[in-house]
Amino acid sequence: MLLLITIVGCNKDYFDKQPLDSISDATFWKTEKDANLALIGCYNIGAGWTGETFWMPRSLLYLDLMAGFGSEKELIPDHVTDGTVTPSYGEISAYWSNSYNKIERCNNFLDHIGTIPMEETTRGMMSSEVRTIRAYELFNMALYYGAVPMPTHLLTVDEANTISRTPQKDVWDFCEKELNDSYDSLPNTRTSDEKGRITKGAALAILGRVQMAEKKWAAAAATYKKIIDLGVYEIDQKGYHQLFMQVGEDSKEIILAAQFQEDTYSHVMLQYLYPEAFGGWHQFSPYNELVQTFECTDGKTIDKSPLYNVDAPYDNRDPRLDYTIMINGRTKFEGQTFVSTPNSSSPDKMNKYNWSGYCINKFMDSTFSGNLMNYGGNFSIIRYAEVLLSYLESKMEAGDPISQSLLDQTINAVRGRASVNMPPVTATDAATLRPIIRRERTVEFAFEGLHYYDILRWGIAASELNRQFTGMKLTNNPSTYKDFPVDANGFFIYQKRNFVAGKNELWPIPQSERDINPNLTQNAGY
Amino acid sequence: MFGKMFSCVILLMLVGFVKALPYQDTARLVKGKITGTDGAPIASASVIEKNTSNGTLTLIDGTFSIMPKSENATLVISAVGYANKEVQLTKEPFYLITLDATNNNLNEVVVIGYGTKRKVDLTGSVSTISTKDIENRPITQTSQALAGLTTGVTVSQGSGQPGNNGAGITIRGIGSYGAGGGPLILVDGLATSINDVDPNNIASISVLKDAASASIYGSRAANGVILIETKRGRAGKMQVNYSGYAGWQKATELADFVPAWQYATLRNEANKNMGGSATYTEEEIQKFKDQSDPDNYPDVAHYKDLLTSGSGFQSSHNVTFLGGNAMNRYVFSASYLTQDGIVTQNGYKRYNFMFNEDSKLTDNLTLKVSINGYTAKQHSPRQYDGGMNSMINFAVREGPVYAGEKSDGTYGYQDNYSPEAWLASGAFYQGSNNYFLGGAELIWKPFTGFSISGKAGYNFWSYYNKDYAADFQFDPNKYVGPNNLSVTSGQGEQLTLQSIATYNKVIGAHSFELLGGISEERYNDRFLTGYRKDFPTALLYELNAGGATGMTNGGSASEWSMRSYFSRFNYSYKDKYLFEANIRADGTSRFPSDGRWGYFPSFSAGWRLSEESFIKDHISWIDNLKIRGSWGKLGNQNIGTYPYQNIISLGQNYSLGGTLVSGAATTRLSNAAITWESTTTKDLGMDLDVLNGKFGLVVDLFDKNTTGVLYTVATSSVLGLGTSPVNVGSVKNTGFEAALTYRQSFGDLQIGLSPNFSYTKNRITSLANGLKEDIGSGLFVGQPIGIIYGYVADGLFVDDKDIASYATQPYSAEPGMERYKDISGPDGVPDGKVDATYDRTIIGNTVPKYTYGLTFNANYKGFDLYVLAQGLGGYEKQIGSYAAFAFYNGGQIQQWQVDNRWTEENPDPRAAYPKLTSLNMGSGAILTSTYWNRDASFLRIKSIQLGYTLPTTFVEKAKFSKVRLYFSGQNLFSWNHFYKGWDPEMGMSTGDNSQFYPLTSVYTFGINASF
Repeated sequence: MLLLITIVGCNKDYFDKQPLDSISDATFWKTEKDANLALIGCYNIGAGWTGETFWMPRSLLYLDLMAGFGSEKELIPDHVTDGTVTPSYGEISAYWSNSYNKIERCNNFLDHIGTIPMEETTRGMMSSEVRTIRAYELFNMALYYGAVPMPTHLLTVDEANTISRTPQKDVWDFCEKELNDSYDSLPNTRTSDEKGRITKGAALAILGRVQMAEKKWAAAAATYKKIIDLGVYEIDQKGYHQLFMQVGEDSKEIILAAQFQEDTYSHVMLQYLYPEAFGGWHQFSPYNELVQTFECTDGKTIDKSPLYNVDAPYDNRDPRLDYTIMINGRTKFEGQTFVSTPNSSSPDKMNKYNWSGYCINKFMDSTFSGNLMNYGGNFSIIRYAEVLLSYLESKMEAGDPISQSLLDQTINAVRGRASVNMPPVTATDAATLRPIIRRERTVEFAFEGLHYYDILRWGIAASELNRQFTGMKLTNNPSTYKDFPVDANGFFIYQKRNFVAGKNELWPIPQSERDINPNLTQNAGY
Repeated sequence: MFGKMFSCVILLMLVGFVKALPYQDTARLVKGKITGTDGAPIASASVIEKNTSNGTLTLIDGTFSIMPKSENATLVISAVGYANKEVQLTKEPFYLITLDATNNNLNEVVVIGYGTKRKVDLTGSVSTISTKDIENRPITQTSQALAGLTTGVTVSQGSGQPGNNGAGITIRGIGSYGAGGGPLILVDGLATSINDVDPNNIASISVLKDAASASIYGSRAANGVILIETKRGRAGKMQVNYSGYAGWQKATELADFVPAWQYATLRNEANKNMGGSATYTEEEIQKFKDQSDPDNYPDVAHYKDLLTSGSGFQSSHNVTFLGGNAMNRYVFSASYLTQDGIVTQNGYKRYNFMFNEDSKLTDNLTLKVSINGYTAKQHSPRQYDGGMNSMINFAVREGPVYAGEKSDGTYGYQDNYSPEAWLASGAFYQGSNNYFLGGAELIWKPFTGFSISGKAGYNFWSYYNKDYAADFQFDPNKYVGPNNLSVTSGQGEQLTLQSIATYNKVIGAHSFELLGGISEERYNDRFLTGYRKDFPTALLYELNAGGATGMTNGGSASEWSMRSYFSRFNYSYKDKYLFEANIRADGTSRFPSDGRWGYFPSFSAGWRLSEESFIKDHISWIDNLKIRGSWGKLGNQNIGTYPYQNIISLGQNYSLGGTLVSGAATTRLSNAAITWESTTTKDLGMDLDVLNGKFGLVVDLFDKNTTGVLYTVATSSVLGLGTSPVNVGSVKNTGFEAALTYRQSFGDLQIGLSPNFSYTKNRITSLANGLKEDIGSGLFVGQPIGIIYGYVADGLFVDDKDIASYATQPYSAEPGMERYKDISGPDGVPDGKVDATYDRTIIGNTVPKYTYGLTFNANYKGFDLYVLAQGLGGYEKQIGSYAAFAFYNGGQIQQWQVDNRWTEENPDPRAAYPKLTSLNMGSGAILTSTYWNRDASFLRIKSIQLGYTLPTTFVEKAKFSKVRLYFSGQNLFSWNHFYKGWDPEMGMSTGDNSQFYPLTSVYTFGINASF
């Protein structure tokens, strides 16, 4: 007996196949749970090897390398400001597309949040968070690219392919308004299970950055004062170095940080940053010009201080120098000394690559023993120290009288913290104080991604970036030294940057975008 | 509508019978042997009792036995290459029958969609590949077998990696730049992947190239259809065939990197060229040269060492049993393949089996069962953060100045890369696959000319892959870890149900054939992944042995379904005028209900001029002359499973308060109106056979227009989302194909020569509405798919004066760097400034325009020789990153870059390599330009086989019926003008993480034996 039955199905839903691991649009945006999912989607920044964004640790560090703090082994960030950047450069389009991806998520969220049934205060808080994230992105985009497309709702393909650039000022005005509208509905602090979400202080601190970029000094000062008056932040006294390690990430100094977690949501910056001797790739080489910016322990710059000895240039210096830079024969990590002596047997010997002989010490986490590509430490985007220094700078630039007590509450609190203990600043006139504040920001925030912003708004990008940079100290007898080119003080003559004034202050609009959208004009000089 | 009409069709075939009919024991058994005029036995000749369906095939020694149903039966003997012969049976029990070689293959039967047909009756364009062209070649993946053998088929093998070395197949040009471009593959009528069938088991391959032949497969046929039939049994005593070979592989080409002392010298030169200081002192260079301190001043050829570290041993064994009687025929085949890589710790093993049975259940009821499957295992070394092919890529980068294993047991490394260290680390990849394809078909012929069949096919596959990333202490400074294990396990299945009815009728000179069928396919797959780290020892490789901290898992599934109705109508008048029409309707879950059903008709006609009296009676040297033409429409739906649905992706998580919190985001803007790509093909062909089959010629002209090409419109990233394709583009392929065969005997020497040539002109006829170009995807209206877009390099700058007098460059130009041409400007004329908008242009085309092949075979007494040459032509390629650029991102340098490079002493503007510098992705010298283009055309001796068949008298003493010994070589030589050391056929991206595995040559010795 053989029976063969071929049944061509009678079921009506034979062709109705839905995705099995993702939600289809029709069923989403219905409940508060969906809103929570989408909110987290706005925070999501990828992790691991994700390319350049204004949230990824490596990307933020890159910004400071672009701003003249050092070089990267393959010169990837260097190119952005060494006069060679072209509109086809991949790094330029990476920041662009990743930012718009985040802006789209925020817009999509804001387009839909209004119709989801939920409590109004929750809706208000969530909207404010998302508007703050969007403002942070738009502010940065306009800072680096100048006029940029400013989508404020989910675009159609046609809109995206024809959108024009909004002038930088208009973008910043929009950001200012958005942040002003948002901060009030945000909480002062977050419970421990929400740590990492936007707070009132974070929104205000981003607002302050926008206002300072726009030189709205009085408004900026008022914004920063609001943060100080919240009373929830303080300068960390446990140790400057550990502020940048995993153990320091609960510090009350941190206002906004990109959040990571080993294994499930980690990042790879340490693999790049560590010297080879400690298992890293020694990808970054600080310049000696940054090293020389650190004052001596008497609070004087190296050209003024009697404590400075050119034959022992790293002695008697601001303790943050050692916390920030790895120096040949001097810096110890887990008991082992960093060696970059040229022609030595060290894996980090200066002449093995196009290295300066220095490495970055900030973020080296001696408490971490896992895989350097799987680091779970957070990365600070805004610290309270910035709020204090920005507050002082805004007051000063606004022409407000500067009192010693204001100095003590701000710059002296930062540089006087336990573990730094630099002597207090006493200058109260703007002309004397301005370079001191700028230097303080430079050394305090080195490699945290703030310096590019600073030199652009200070208008000194061209002078900072069109010069010869030097590396490690090679000899105390420069006149007889032959092995490598050295300057008059025996520092390695390292790299030259040829920043083009009037052009390189803005990044080019990516060629791939202009290939698609004819309405995107190009910045001058590209 | 069509779908609804048939939405509830139940076809029930219920056939019962109590027991199989007993064998007819009253008839007598007739035996015989069939030979050619030379006395050589003819195997597989068909012996049929005239006007019945009673028949058999001859065995390898030419013998047959048959039980005639009537006393005065006539046997009709036919065999490929021989004239048919009819033999009237007498009372003799044994017949020695001699066939005359005709050389023509007019009676050859070819497999077509849902049936077979005599070649002379074809009105569409179908190429066939005979098993002779596949047999005994060291083909490990069936897709490799097609190269060079037939017109209209472009075969390109991108990798030599054991288990992963299948070739890409394109039929008659690339028809789409949105959807997948691969042909539909059917094995015994069931859709599968070509590499899932064992080359040992193939009986025939048909390539359906035009719409007339392929449209019966409708929405999946736009890129052509390949039909593979496996071997089937035959009546007669059991025959056992063994074939096996063993041999070695080696890379076809290996790049020639310079030794350490030269590397160091050139590195200093590059530093000097960049205004920097020397990296290596003279003493150090001397140490590299004399190798007095190999730990600190090593000279290690990492790339070459890695790619010669494996044995490359390859061997294959197949045993096939076939036999049967008038009622049942069977074939059982078992194969074993082992292939060790040219990289150590890398290999592939596969066990295939096949069982096919044809049972005559009653006089008019036949059951055909086809079962085949395999289990395969693959293993390879890996490095911590990448697989073997990534390891090879980083071996391209790692200069000779980095040590391998040092005398103290520690290892040198660059970043985290060191092939020697990772080979020693115990890190590995292991993959295993199991595959089963089974089909059962019941054919009922209730009355003459009518047949109805029901078929069920089931395809199941599963895989289990493990990646163990060992931790490793390179030296006291360098530790990479912790160790971890990732496991991926998945399975899938596809069910096919199909019913077909056919009816043939001959009324006088008119013959009709009608076929109608329905089929349904359901597909689903699913997988699970798991990850753990911190394994206590490097010897425990199961997930449970890992630490619980940081473990993760994942998984997903997908499904689709299709339903189809199809029909074919054939009419011929006096075998002279041939006409065929096909229609298929397909419904698929991949498209929304509005565009779910697609209809694919075709019409074709043939005129056999050679049957007209003005030729038949007057031109005797023409055996066959036919002209044929066809028109038809085909579809393509290879675009992912849920393209029309807006997808909210989960897994867009973020870490809050030390816990990973779930997030979601829209990641794709969907196109709700998505539907089929539709390809209209016209084909005009001619078949000519002359001089009793000495020469044969098949010529085809085709014109293939694909409209509604699923194209993901280039979207500004300001949108922030992916988009799904829309049916807006169109592509045109026109081409010409010619295949010639020549066969001749000179006494004992028989030779055959078959050249073939195909030319395809591909061009994009439209992109999205009004869009003329999509630079990012390299798509330009009026240009072929796969162009290279970039600057035109006018050699290299000689000096600063040259730079000053030349158009301003898009980078900081230096002497010895590319001089990009100023082509145009905002006003349409050169503006003295080279920029991306006005001065980039189309500088190359990466898709071959020409495909050609040649087979030559010769037999002389016991010797046979087979040569296959294959070539692809009319295209350019670039390589990039570590492979193309010296000192790129810390990479090394090759001899061709050193020879005739630009130097200050010899500032040759036409130098083959620019001024030495260390390059990286921002360097102006490596912008995409003609400077880095190379002609990728090649001609390859794909296969050579020299065999010797031992004399029958000799082997029969040992109870063998046939023994043949042979030597075979695959991918032996190639001629090309590509980058030295890089095989142009090899698949490599131009990016920094270009993972590849070199193509290999294979040299084998083999044996075929039957008994």
